[in-house]
Amino acid sequence: MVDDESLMTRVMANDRAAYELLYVRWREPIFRFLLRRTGGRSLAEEAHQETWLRVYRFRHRFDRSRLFRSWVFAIAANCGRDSFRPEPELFVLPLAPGEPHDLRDRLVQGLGALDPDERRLLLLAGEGFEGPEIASMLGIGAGAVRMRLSRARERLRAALGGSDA
Amino acid sequence: MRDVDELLRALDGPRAPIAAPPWPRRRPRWVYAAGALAAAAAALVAVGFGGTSLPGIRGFAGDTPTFDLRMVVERGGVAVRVAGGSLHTGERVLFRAAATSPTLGVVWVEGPRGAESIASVEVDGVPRDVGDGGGLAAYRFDRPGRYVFHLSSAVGQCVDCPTIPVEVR
Repeated sequence: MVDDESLMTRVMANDRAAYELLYVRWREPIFRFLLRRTGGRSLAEEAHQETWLRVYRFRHRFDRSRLFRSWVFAIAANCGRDSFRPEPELFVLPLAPGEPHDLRDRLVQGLGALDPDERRLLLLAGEGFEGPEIASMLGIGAGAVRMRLSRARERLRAALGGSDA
Repeated sequence: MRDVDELLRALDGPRAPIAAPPWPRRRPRWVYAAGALAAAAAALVAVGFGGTSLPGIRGFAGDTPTFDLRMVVERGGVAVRVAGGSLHTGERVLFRAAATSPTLGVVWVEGPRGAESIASVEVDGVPRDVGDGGGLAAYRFDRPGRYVFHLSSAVGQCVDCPTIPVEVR
């Protein structure tokens, strides 16, 4: 299988097929990230389209020494509006035993109560990005990432009305 | 209950659009939207905004780029420079951006709906209109309130970035 970075090198040479292959690989994780970031479908779709247009428009800025994954998530984290319009009924959250039946709604509302930066940080951490990489993706200091991430988790925990199991 | 990170990873929703967006077609830089925006764009040139009246921005290679943002409001086909003050709902504003060295910026606004991205732009020492192959980027005020326009490297981030505050009535 051709790796993402090689595909992106081909996109830089205006290879549309390579772009579409990257899209197929990454459309779901990026869209899921944006759904959680915006709360609902219409804003997520708008930001998703903008993300992929930026992948094309700024293709020559891709640093081949970086992972494509980091680059595309950085674009997704920074484009589109920071508005949050919750549509909890759109989401699915399988419940573990003992979890409240309205946990999905509380989680979505809790995300909306965070400020846009905190939400963005928390969701990037949820995608497996570490603090220094998030700092680089968002152009902020690693210390600020740590502090804001900690605060975001605390606030979301409080919104869910409990402590971690 | 699971921890918040685990809960967020488990939160799923509808599927992504099947097809990738089409690549923008190449168009000449000066393609204007129809009607009043086209008139305003022509007026940008007429009032010297499109020419060399803006000083060139210079800087040293390797510096963190410093952004410059200008804004005009379109009124009756004429572009009027806005550096602050009052505007009215229904009015549209257009933007021109530059930076001390080539970089990517985003024009965004903090308003009654929170932070909103308007357009991303590749900037350098030559001031250029903010827009893309589809025309100039315009922001129309649909509700009163305080709006602060920014040009920085990302929405919501502004460290000494240029800002233009306006009160919309």
